[in-house]
Amino acid sequence: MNNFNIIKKIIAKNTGIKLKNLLPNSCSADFVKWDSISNIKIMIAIEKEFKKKISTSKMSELDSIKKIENYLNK
Amino acid sequence: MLFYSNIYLFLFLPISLLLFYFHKLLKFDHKTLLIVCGIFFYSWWNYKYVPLILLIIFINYFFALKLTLTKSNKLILFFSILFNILILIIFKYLDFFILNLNYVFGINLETYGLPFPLALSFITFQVIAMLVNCYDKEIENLRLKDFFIFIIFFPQLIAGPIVKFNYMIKQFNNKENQKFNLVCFNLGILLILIGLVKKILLAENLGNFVDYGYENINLLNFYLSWLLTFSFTFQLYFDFSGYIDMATGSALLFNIILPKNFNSPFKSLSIIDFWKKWHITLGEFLTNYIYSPWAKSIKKLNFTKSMMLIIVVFLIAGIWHGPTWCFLIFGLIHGLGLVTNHIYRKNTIFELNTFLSCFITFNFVNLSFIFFRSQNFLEAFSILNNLVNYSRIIEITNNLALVEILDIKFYLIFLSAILISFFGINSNQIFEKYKQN
Repeated sequence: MNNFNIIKKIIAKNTGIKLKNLLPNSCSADFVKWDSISNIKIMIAIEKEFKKKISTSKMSELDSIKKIENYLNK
Repeated sequence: MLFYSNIYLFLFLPISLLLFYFHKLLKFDHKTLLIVCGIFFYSWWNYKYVPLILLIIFINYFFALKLTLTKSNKLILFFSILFNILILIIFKYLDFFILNLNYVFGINLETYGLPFPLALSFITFQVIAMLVNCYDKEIENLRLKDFFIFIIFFPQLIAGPIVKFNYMIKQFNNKENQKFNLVCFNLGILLILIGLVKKILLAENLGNFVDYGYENINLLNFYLSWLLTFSFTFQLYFDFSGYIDMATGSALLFNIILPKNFNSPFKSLSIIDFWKKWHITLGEFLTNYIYSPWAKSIKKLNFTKSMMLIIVVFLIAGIWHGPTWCFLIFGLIHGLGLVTNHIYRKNTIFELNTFLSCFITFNFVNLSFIFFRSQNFLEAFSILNNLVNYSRIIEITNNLALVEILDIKFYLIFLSAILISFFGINSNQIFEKYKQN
């Protein structure tokens, strides 16, 4: 499974958004359910899944699938 | 020195600008000049507190340097944050604790009556954020001058917005920003003027009624009590956002763009939405530097735990505004409001219509501000009681002072406040439009 699909699954699991509604350019502003609280849950799950630490101030910046993908590819 | 005072507008700001743009002629570094201006600006309030602020800056610089140079050192981070919180507690909350201890245990400890150093609350949050960034290795090559200018840059020194180190230093280091820029200059002047109108024309005039009303709550009938709460809500908004406009405008004159802090908050459709539009940088600080690390440290974070955490974070936010129980209740109300909002989102499929959402959110915020403005619970509950005291609906107030304050000018200003808050474009939108043009 590529990063996009894993990220999508994590977001869907932590927000309740349907998988089919998450697109490569989706961001938190597109969904009411993807708020700052669920974003933190997403970050915790991403850290766990990819074994990569996300710094405190980066957390709120990573609010779209693209940004998360770019961060993981760094 | 207040942004709307003559001394600031016609003396301090123009002289600072001249020094800044002619710094090469004076053979001074632009940052050094801004630091000197910042210290002068601060000392205008009380020069006796300048050594304290300088000491806080030096000690925090030492902590920050240690954090950037050593590999993940949690102990230094812990002590550096503790140091800043202790300073804040000593100057802001010590007497509050003593008074409460006296009350609870029936003892008679003496209070210290220490005057609160201006800007300490904002500096504390800003420095804590910066220390965490140092710990996360997001800040490299830290220089004392950069650290100084980050704290003491006068447009955002007193009441924010809360800025991030890297965001600011990038701008200070940009050589283009040391040259005169007509677009920034015009926009800066425009924002200062907008801020002045908000502060002097709107906030101060509404404030006359608010001050009188809060001093004479027993004179207020049902209608005047509601008018009082609305007036204070608009006063607070125009006062604070006016201040931020003047701060942003002043910074722009030096080619520095401050982050936005207000974005038409009364147009919010929910309380979650409200905190994305009201005091934005405080909301971001609470999320990034208190809520997130705390949430991360909780094992098996679930919905209930995250909701409890929201309440705790907003209790901190409430008491941060000032050492009174009313501020704590203000924080609690907003914490509970956010939790209710999250529960509603989680369990409800249908969405309320825009007008109803905006109406509920605004009234919730309006009622919470009663605790923000009241000196004590007695005052707050007297007003709340008046708001539901239907027997006083038709009561006529013959108080002459009130009749004088509530003249046609007041109502025109009140109406303007409503129109601007709910239908007008805000300073950020003006900023964006002007930049595009």
